[in-house]
Amino acid sequence: MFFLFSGNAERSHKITAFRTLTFLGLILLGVFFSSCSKQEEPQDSFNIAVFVPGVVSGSPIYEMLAAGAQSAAAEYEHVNLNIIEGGSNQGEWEEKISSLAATGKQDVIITSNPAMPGICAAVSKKFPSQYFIVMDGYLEDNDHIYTLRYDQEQQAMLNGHLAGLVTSSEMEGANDQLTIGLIAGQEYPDMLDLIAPGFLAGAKAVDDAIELDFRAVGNWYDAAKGAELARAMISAGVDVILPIAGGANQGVVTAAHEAGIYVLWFDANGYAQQPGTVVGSTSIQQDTATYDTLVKAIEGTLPYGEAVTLGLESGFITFIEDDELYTSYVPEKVRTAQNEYLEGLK
Amino acid sequence: MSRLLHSLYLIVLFIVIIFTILLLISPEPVMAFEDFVTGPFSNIYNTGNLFAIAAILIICGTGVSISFQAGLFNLGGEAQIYSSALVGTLVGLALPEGSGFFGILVVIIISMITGAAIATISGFLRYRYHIHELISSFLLSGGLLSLTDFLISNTFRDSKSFLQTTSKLPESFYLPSILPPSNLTITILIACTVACILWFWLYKMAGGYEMRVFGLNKDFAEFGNISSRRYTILPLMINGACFGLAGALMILSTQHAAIVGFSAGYGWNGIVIALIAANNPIMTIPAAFLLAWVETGTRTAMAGSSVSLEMSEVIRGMILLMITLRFFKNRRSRS
Repeated sequence: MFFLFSGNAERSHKITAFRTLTFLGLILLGVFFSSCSKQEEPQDSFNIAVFVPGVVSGSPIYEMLAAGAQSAAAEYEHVNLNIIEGGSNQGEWEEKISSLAATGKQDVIITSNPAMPGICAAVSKKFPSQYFIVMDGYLEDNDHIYTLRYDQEQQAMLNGHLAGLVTSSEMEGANDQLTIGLIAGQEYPDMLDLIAPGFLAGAKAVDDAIELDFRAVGNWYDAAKGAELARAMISAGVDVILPIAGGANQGVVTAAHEAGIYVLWFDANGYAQQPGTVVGSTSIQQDTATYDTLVKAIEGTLPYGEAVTLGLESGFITFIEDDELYTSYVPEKVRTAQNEYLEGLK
Repeated sequence: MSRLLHSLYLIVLFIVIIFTILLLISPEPVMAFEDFVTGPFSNIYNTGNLFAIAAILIICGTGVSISFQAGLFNLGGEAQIYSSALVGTLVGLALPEGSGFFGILVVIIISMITGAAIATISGFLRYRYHIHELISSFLLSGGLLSLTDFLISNTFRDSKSFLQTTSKLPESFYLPSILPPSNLTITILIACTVACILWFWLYKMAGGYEMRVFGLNKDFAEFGNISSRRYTILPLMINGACFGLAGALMILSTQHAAIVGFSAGYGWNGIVIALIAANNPIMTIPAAFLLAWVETGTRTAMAGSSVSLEMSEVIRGMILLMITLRFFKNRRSRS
C-alpha cells in the first residue's frame, strides 16, 4: 500500500495517479478478457438455484432442502447447483430472488417456506419465463410454479396427541392441570388455520377437557423471548410445550428443562436437543421430497402448475418412535397409545 | 487533484481487498470477482436496482451531511426511516384506494414530518437540557425500532400474509417505474433534486452559511448573533425529514408495505455516505453510487457463485472500514 503514504508534491501526485490508473486499467482489462474468454456453457447444462429464505445452518428444514438438492445434483453431470442464502430480512427476499431470475441462467429456482409461493408469483410476473419449485408452500394454477407441502395439520395432530397423553399421564413432570402449550415464531395463516387447531384436535382425542395455551414470539430467532414465554406458560400450569419458533426453540427447551416439564419437536428429530425433556418428535422428509422433485425437474417430467400435499400415508411425515431417547424416557403406556393413534391416522 | 487521488486510491484499495477476500473464501474467485464488478451492469434488473438503492442512499446521505455540517451527530437514522415509513404506510392505507398522486404526496409529507419530529426531539434535548444528541438520538432510535417491529408484527399485521408485514398499499400509490422489471422509479430524480436544493441552501444562501459557521465554531457563531437554538434544531429536523422521505420512497417504490426490518442499514449507510462525500450534498451522489455498486455487487456475486451471505457482509464491512479509515486520515491531517 505504498501509494497511501506518498508525499504531497505535485509531481509525485502525478506519478502515483498514473500508477494507480494503470493498475486500475490492468484490472479492468483482466476482467474484460476473462469474460470474453469464458467459454459458453454447453447447451445441455441444467442450472439449479436453491434460494434459502434465511440461513442454512441451524435450520433443519433448510438443511434438508440443501442436502436433497445436493444429492439430486450429484447424480447428473450436467447439473450445476448454486445455494443462495437470503438472510433474515424478509423485505429483501423478493428482490434477491428477482436478481436470481434476472440472470436468466437458472433453469429452475427452488425454495422452501410457506411465504415463498406469493413472492415467487410476484417475481414470476416480472420474469415470466422463469420456473420455480416451492417446497413447504402452496399455490395452485401458476404454470411456472410447482409447489409441494406437507400436511401440517396431520403432523400437528400427532404432536398434539402425544401432548395430550403426556399432560394427562403420571409422568414426573406432568401436573394435574390439562393445559398444553404451543409457542410459534409468529402468527401466520398455516399456523392459525392448520397447526394450532390440529395440535388441539390431537390432544382432544385423548381427553376432551384439554385446553391450549398459544403464544407467539414475534420473530424466529429470539431465544430469550422464547424462554420468557415458556416460563409464563409453565407458571400458568402448562406441562408440555410444542415450540415452532426457529432459533427461539432453544429458549423454550432451556426453560422447560429448568422447570422439569416436557417439550415436543416439529419437523426434525429433536430428541437429542435435551434428552428427557424432549419426549416426542415428528419429522418431515424434506430432503427426500426435494430430491424426488428435483430429479423430475431435471428429467423434464415435473408438472409445473400443480400443487401437491403430502400426508402421513405418503411416508413423508412421520412420528419418530424408534429413537432410543424416546423409548427410554417415555413410559410404555404412553408409547403404545401414541402408536395406536399413529397407525389409526394412516 | 489530491481529492481525486484519494478517490482513486480508494477504488484500487476496494478492488484489492475484495479480490483478496474472494480469493480466500470463494471456490471460484475470478468468477465471483467478475460478478462483483460487472454484475450490477449485467442486466437491466440489476442496473435499475443499483440506481434505486443509490437514490435512497443519496437522500439519507444528504440529510446526514446537513447535520454533520452543523456539528451535530444524528445516530437515529435507522428508526427515523423505519418508523416514519410505517406511519406513512398506515396513512396511505387509511386513505381512499384511488388517491393516486394526492395520496403519494400525503404519504411523503406525513413520513417527512414523522422523521423530522423524531429527530427534533434530540435537537430540543440538546438545546434545552444539554443532553448530547449523539446519545439521545441513538437511544431513542433503539426504542423506536423495537416499537415499530412490535406494531408491524402485532397491531398492524396483515393476518393473511405469511410475512411479518402490514397490508399492501393499493396500486395507485406506486411510483411510476423507469426501468421495468427493476425497482427503479422516479426516486432517483427526487433524490438528485433534494441533494441539489440542499447544496444550494448550504452554500449559496444565508441560512446555510450561518449553519456552517455554527458548525465550525459555536462561540464565534453566537458572537455573530447566529441563533444557536435554530441551528441546533433545524439541521436535525432537515436530517430527520430526509430520512422520513427515504422511508416513504422505499415504501412507495419498492416494498409497497412496511415489512419488519425492511430498511435495516440505511440509517447507518447514510452516515457512511456523508463521510465519503465530506458532507457535501452534491458529492453524496457519486458516494451513494459507489455504495450502491458495492451493495448490488455483493448481491450478484452471491447469486452467481458460492459467496455466502456472511461473507458478502464481511466484504461490505471491510469496504466501510476502509472508507472510515480514510475519513479519519483526512480528519487528522485537517487538525
